[in-house]
Amino acid sequence: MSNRNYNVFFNIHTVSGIVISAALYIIFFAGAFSLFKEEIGIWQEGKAISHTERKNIDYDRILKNIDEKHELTGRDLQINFGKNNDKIYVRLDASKDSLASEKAKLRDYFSVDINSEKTKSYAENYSLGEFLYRLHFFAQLPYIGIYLAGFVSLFFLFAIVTGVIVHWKKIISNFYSFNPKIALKRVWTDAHTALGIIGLPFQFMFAVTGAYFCLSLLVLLPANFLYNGDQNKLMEDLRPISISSDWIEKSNDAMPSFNQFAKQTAKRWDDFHLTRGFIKNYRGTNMKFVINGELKESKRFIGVGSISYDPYSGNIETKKDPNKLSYLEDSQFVLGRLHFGESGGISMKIIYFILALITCFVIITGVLIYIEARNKKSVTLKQRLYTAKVGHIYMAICLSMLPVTALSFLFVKLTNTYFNDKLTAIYSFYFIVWLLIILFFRFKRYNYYINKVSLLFGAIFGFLIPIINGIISGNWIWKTYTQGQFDILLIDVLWIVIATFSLLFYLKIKPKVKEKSAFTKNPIDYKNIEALKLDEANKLQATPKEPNSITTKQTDKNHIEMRTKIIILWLFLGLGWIVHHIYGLFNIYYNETLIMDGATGEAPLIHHIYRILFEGLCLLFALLTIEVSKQWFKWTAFIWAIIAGLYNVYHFVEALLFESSNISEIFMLLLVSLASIFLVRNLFLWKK
Amino acid sequence: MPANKKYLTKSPWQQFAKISAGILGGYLISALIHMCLPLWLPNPKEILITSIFTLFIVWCALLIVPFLFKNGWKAWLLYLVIIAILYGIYIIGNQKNPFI
Repeated sequence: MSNRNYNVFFNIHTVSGIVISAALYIIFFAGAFSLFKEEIGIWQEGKAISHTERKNIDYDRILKNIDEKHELTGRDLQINFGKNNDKIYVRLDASKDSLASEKAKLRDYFSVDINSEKTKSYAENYSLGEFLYRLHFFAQLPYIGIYLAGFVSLFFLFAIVTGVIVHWKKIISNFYSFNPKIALKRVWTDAHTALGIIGLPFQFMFAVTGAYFCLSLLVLLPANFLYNGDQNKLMEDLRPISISSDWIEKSNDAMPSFNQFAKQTAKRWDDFHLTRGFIKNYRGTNMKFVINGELKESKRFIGVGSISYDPYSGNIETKKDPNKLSYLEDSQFVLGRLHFGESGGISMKIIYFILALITCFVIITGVLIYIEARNKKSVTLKQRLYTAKVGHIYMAICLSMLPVTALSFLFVKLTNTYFNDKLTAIYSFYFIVWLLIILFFRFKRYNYYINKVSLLFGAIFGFLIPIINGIISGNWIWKTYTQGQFDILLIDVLWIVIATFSLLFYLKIKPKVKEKSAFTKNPIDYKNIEALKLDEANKLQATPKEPNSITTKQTDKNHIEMRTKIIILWLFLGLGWIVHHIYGLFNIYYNETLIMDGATGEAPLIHHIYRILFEGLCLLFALLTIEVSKQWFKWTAFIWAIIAGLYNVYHFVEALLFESSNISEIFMLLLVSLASIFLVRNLFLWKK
Repeated sequence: MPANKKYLTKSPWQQFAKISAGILGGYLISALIHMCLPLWLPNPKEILITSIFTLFIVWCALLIVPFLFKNGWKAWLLYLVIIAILYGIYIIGNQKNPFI
């Protein structure tokens, strides 16, 4: 590999890695715990569970109960059976029957206790496990969170591949030359490479499957073109289970038994466990029962089967034998199996857990190498402060996750019966505590301290978890062990192990180690930071500037002053919008009637707001730029230019797709989009 | 130990060109490849379902390629040519589309 390519790869590995690192750490850390999502839920409830086989649950009684409350006729139902919890999860779609009441047209999702038949809403049933599971794809950020996680995943794949290219030659030597007694940076570089390579297949798998789960939209898009936009047909081929049929009418026959069907299905194949049931068109003449299930994990890696059944006639309509593989249907399950570590029981999950934490370590070492390598005497103070700041923020975000998560386990245990809306309680507790700790650490500006304190408190809270669990719900580890409540036991033991390791690391990390850091050899004196900054500024001024940098600007005949440029661009945008609105009216000459549906003769307020936002604000910014040049104004203008620019580009693409015949309008929109891009660029330069 | 700056692109426009070529152009090529293959090869549905893993891997490879170029706009040019060719192959293959 040429020298240039090596350096280019090295740089893109570093940059892509740093950009995604904090987000990726959160994904892996929360993801490690979400492997035990269901167990955490059981642990939090603290009640002994019965491990009822799914086929022995009395669905008929449960359905009758739900029917009384939610009027099921005409709805599609989805029932997630769960694994061995005492709860099943029911999703109700809106009733398709036109005669149905308003209530029956509301969708719903809740859990049902299989013994007491009590239902609990999603928020009441929320557990820390669910929270961490959702945190691992940023579901707490509405709409964009999951796509953000998807792109982090994609760039993780990118960082993995470039990482292998960069480190290829050093892989084996780093393995043997690993010696923690030399400079700290060497320890981190060697650990980064060695552990990165050990986890490589695992990380590669997560990057690909994670991208699929979050960005499946981008996979469906090309497929959608192939099906010529026929989404129903595409879904029928890819996810046959999600298809629903039209409602015909209510049947007069008695409701057939779901229990019997569940028992029959489970008996059909050996070691077959039910996972999910569907009832389509509840009580309709074309009602359908569907049950999915899987063979035991130890028997087959992928053994997914399903039966769809007409309950009135008792005929089986379609069935898939779990002992036979079908590439088409099973490929998507492979991704799920791999991603969630569902193939080898608890031991596989533990291996996944360890590998996920190793990945966290690789991410952290990557950040540490980045900041260590950039703290040299030869680098300017401004740059050193910048990398140090990035390091402090990243370390604060990442390392504080351990104590915050441990503390949240204590929180949910102590308050489990106190809050009805557990969702809000967990959200507020976790995020507020996390934010406060991040802020505290960030202004402490001391990575060694951040690490020590995080480990120490992680250990303390971790050891408290089984103790508090014993005090609050009486589930002491010896009791849960003898009673066979292994789900609860697992979480307690997991935390004892994590706390033990945290304590070990805490004791192992000594000030001696810190002395090897580049920040000890080459410290930044934050107390005298103003003096240092001044010092450097003076030094820079002392060195003579390039003499012709100002004069060239004046002799350049093509030069336009920055503010003039920005004013012209704002005016152009404003005019562009006005012209666009006039062109938009062009249609009425040829094919549109003059008065729109529902027009009252009075322009609605929203149109005024819309025009002020797009025409008015552009002109306002143009006007203000003539007189104002304060920093806050530059920032406001910059941000608004970005928002307007995004809208312009979006509008241009939208017009291209839906109004491709209106050429003059599209051309105008293209000009406006271009002007927006220029404007954003110029404002960016101006605010510097 | 940071990468030697003398080999790196400094112009933000060049950086923009390379990154946008990788993300946008890379996705378009990757998507078009996965639209052409099932049209021209046997077992179209099986190939289509395979795209759930291969799409992202191909995309990732195409994210890297523009960085090998000195001039990012040339990478865009190359990608546009490939996109045009693949689109042609798709249009021809789409005449006997097995999915409709």
